[in-house]
Amino acid sequence: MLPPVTEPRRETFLHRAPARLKLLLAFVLILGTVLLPRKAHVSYFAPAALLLVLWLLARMPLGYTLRRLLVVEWFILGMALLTLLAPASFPLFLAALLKSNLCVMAMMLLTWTTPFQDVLRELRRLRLPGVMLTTLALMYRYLPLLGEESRRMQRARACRTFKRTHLFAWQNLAAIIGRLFIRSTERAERIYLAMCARGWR
Amino acid sequence: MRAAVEVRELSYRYPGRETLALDNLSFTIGQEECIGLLGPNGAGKSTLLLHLNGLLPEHLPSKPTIWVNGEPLAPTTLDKIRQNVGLLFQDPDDQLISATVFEDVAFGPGQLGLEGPILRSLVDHCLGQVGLRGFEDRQPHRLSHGEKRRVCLAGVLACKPTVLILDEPSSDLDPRGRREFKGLLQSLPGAKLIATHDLELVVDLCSRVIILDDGKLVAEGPTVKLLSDESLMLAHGLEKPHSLLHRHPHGPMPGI
Repeated sequence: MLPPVTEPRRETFLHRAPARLKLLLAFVLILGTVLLPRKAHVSYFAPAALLLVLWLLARMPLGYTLRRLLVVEWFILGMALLTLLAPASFPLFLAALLKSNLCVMAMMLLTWTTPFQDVLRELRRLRLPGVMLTTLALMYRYLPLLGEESRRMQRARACRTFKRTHLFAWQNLAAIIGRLFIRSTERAERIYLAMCARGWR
Repeated sequence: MRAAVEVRELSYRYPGRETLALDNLSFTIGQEECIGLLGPNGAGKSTLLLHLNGLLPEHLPSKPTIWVNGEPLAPTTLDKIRQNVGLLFQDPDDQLISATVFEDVAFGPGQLGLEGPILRSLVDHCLGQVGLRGFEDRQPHRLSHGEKRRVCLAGVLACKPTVLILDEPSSDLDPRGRREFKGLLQSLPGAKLIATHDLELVVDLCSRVIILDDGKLVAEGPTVKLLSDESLMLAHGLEKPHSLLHRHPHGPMPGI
């Protein structure tokens, strides 16, 4: 589950900069990082240094940054570990780890300095496919709701939990994820009907 | 004067189910009439509401069973009827799909091709109608339940419906939110059908009620007369409202 955003946003000139400019900068940074050599190389310092400067300018708190990075780090690590299956792949593993972290950092800076609805508006102006934009908008709209729903379920379970073993905790988590999936499917059907009721085709 | 909504011999069975969810329903809703739709859980109220907006059945039958302002509900008229029949869902979170209040209220008119200053002024007008002017940039998930419901109503009103269909509009509202929402509904023109368990709301708003049970229309008539009939109410999983407990069926309406 994503940690709730409790850090107050500081108003910096990066926050006030046009959303389109920030979106383009993030895109260029990510593309440039992805195209770097597939081994740990001195060229990695360029995007890293740029991101460090932007991070300082955006005044993103260190604790917040680390907490957010930690959420995605497990996925990055899982993906990078897969590269180790190939022979002589340690440089590739390092490159995957570095590239992914740099790209995530670029996205974090974009979302820290730009409200998501501004990002969506710019993507719409850039004529991204409507289905993709709708999916993004719905994800943004319903992610906090799913988070709140899972917290409610956890609380409801916790108040009737009298033994605390790791196995039980995992069983509990699995049950919540399963239930959340079913609820989300049912909700998706209701959302679709509500959209159709207002002319969605 | 033609009816705002006319339902004739409407039956529906959910795929894979043996029993009918709606069994041969026929009734009308007059222009400017406000009707309460009552019944126990599983009576078929929500199923009926989905039919009135053309969301059910999955494939519209060749022989129409629903008419809105004299126009039959058919594949060719579906878009027009959906615009004319505004449906407010029970859970506001199912209905609020956009990142901001403005975008959500603009969703319906946007589907109709409205944009630019006309769309902005329409959204502003509808938010004004529900008392939420200035909420345009707010995010739906940061609103209170009552505010969410009002945004939903603004989104429905933005399509300029002639008939309002409301599914449990007062559920989960605190007393102030309920009172404000009731006042808001009273101020809105057009025909209304309110499916609810809030019998006091029905007494306050509706001149006529329809009682459904097991998919069948079991009673239809003036609100006070039907809701005062204790045996009828108990037989269909309902209760006589408190405001009618010590009142003669032909006396004045409570709150008037």
